Amino acid sequence: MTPFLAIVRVTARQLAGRSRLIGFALLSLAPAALLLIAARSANPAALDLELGVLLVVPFFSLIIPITTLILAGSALGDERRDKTLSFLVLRPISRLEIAVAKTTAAALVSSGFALFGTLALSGTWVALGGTFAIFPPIIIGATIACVLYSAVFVLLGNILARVTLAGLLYVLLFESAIVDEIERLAGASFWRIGLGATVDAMPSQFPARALLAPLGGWVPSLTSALIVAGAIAIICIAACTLLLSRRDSL
Amino acid sequence: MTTTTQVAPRPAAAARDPLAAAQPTVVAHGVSKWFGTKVAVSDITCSFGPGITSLLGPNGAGKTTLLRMITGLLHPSEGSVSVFGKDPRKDTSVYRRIGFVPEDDAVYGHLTTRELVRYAAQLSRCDASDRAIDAAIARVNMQAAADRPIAQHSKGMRQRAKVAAALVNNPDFLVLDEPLNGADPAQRAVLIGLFHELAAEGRTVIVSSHVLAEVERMTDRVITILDGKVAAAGNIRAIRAAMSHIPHKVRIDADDPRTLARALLDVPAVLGVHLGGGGLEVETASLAELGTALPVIAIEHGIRVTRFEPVDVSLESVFRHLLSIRR
Repeated sequence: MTPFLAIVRVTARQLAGRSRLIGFALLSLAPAALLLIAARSANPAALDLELGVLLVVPFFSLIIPITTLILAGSALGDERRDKTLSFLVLRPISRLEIAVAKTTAAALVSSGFALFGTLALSGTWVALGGTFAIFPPIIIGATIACVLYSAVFVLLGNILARVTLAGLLYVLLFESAIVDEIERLAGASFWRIGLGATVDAMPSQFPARALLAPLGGWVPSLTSALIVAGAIAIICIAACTLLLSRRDSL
Repeated sequence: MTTTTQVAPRPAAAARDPLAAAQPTVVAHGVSKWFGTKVAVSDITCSFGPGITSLLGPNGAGKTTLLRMITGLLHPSEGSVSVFGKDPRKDTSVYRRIGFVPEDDAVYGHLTTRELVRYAAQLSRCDASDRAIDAAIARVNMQAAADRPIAQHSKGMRQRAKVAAALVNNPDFLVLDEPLNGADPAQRAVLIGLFHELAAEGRTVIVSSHVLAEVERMTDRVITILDGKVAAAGNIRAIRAAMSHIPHKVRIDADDPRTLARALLDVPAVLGVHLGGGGLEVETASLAELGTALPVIAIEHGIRVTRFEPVDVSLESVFRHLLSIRR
């Protein structure tokens, strides 16, 4: 096994410990549970709207960011906190390999939780008479959001001791409150980029207009979301590599 | 106070310079490290070669900082470090030949010892086969506990797991930062025996410790660090002998200690005599002079001497002395 795969495997195991596995799995199930509750009370004709407004948006704006920032912040942050970083950096491997492997592990684990949540949501939607065609767009957008948050918070975990607090401030204060007020900042909101990709990839028969509202005036296409995610991931990994090389590994 | 003169280590000067190894594989030249306004290590020049060298000093002396600069975990604020002729911070290939056991309780608690050792092998791009992993685990005598999560291990067992992980790439240079911390006497004996084996195989081994008695069991080449500077270096006895202005203490057992005590007080080099425990503790300015005078006195007074043993040629006494000077 290559060092890259070894780091990904061990980090993924570290991130997906039993308590996190249970906690984040339950959190990811919340949209599906809410859909069931909504289906009992809502007008069936308006169910697609309920799904979009009540469930997909919170899935993108809260569940994915919170899950991913905690996981990604731990990927390198825990190594610094637990002082195991020396185990990694005193090896004949490049700092770039470490940064890419850590980001990959965080993105994989968080995407795994997103996949679980999306499957549960889509399955419930199908059980209520909807179509499974909503699954691919949601998982594509969710994965893009997971990659974005992972790249940024793996980097921040290498810098900040309280990365989770910083992440919650970013998600709850900046992305929710500030961007809601100042629409031109929407491009700096990662979940909006992921949700934009989802909306763009949605089947035409699915009334996605309800999803558009929280995006404000800026709705990225799937292509532009992929480009933005790729660019941000490259910048963050480069910065993380530089930090691992230049900064003391205390 | 230093008992040595720090010079740039050169092989030719090795015989004279206690800070220079005879065949240096690792060289620290004028290294300093400061964190903000705190100077952790100040202008240390030393080298290390095959065999065991101990870094000795109280907590906060700068041992760990020096070791971390040597391994490349910290970059020196000033000076340079060379490991096998390369700067470890610029050329990571040198890590193929390095094994490191950190001071902290820094292990992946969710892994078993076997998984930790395998992970180390994979990261080091070396043989990660079951045979290689088993061999590394066997060297620290941990076969029975190899498949238990490290989080369930005692601190001593964690230390051994870290040592096994550090050995799996068959390193030529081992850095062991307080490797005996938390180990029980049996575990310490196993580890000290292992370090001797590694040194006998021609590897360069640096051990940092504040457990003085164990340092003495591991090596007689010591670099003592206080306040970020080298306070003394070299052979423990040579360091002690170099502090000639400090009285030596010698334990002498004899069948007539009182008569011997009176006679010894006439020897100019004897500064004091204390009776107790069926013998004497003599304080002398010169061991050689006392050694010459004692047989003469014994024959002259018909005293049978059964024991003559310097009691402060130990790291403990050197350490205490250096600390007292610091204060």
